[in-house]
Amino acid sequence: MDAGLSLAQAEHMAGDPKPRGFRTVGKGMAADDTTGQDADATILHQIVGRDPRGIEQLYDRYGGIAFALAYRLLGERGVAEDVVQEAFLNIWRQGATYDTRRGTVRTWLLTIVHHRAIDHIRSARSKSSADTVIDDAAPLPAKEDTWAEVMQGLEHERVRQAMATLPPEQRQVVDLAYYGGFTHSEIAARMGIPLGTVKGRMRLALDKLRELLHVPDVVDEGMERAR
Amino acid sequence: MAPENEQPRNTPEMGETDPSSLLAAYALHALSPEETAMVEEYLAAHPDAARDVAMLKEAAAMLPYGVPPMTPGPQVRLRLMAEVYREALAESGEPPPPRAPQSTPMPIERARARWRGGAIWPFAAVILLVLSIGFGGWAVSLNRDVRDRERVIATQSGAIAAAGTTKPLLATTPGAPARGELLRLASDQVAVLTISGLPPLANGKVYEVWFIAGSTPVGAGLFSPNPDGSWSGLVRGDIASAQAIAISVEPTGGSAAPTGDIVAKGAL
Repeated sequence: MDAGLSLAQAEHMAGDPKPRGFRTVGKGMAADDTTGQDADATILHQIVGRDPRGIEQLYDRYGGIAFALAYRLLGERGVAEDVVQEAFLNIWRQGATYDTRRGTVRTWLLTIVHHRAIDHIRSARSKSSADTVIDDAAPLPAKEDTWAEVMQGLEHERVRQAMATLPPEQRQVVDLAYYGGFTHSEIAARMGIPLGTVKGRMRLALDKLRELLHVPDVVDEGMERAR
Repeated sequence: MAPENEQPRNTPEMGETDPSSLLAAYALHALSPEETAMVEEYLAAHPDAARDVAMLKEAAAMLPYGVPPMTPGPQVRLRLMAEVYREALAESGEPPPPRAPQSTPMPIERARARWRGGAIWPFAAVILLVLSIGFGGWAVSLNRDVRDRERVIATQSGAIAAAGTTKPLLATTPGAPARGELLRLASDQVAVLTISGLPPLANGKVYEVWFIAGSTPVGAGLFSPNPDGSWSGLVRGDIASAQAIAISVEPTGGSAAPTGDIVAKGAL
């Protein structure tokens, strides 16, 4: 446990929920991008030390985006809240085993939320006797008023713009996989395209997003911290 | 970068699938359980591929930021922190020192500082140890006749039964957003308070928690909320005897009895 972390520092960090990965300028990584990751590392350090305030700060930092993702996938507020709560509890319970070389704690958290929500979708889908029509399962467009509201968010706008630059066929496979919960084989079968094409589109889309959003090399940074 | 219509190096029809062709789908959680297991086995043996996947996952983790922002209900934070505090207390297993007599309530900020330094764990361990395994001997030492013993056992049963239950706190001003929960632990002396929606404090002010038995409020601790008006932490006092909990605005350092506005309260 990091006894040297002041409450004021922690609360200052907790009060800034913005993903620092988006505060980059040009190709390089801005200074406070590193600060954001350091703040996450400090929070994780608290969690490893079994300090409940670490989870509190992590929730304040990423609870909103975690819930937005879960709700987007599940469409039910109560279920989405349960998924989010379980994801944070998972971080709390497994934090001691976290390896920073595997990526940021933000990615870890959102991956847990995504996996649990997708597993929920697939479980519900497998119980349904009706064959899911892919157009019905595709993500629903956001309501106009909600969309207008979130347009104010810089992060949201940056990601939206990045997604908009993807060719439609790449965006479609990403949407169907990430938000629809379909496996690559299901997407290939339902779209009537070769499996290899689906794999290629997924790979190209993620590489492009990484480039457009200037995703830092967290692996190298994690290894550097681990030294 | 691979061409878009790149064919997999192997397809199920062709025989064994090459795990390296599945990394992007793996990062998007778009594989079957069997394929997932195959990729994870492959990653364990190929550090370069594991690094590649980590980067793909970082890119995929940006996708949620394209979703319209939403705010979970305040009860999510309350339930989460109540569970986290409960588990943190349950995990403490350090040898407990003798508990010092407590004539005045410990300010919560000081209690949190002790938590930060780990000093609260022995105290928590005392509570848990006594409550989980020590009731029998404790009871015998206290009882001199059957009536006393029955009374103590009844008290213990009540404490155990109360463990894990929550009591809501609501704002005293209609329409104010303050709301919270008090989580009872297997103790008459410690509970977890989680609350959100508290108004910001003026300089020189803190929030003070009160347990009210009859018409007598007894201070249970002081705290300053987070910038968003939330707070979670331990409160201590004679919870079993209290019929209500309240939170008031007090001068820094606390008061002997409530002097400021009561912002939230709840029945116990």
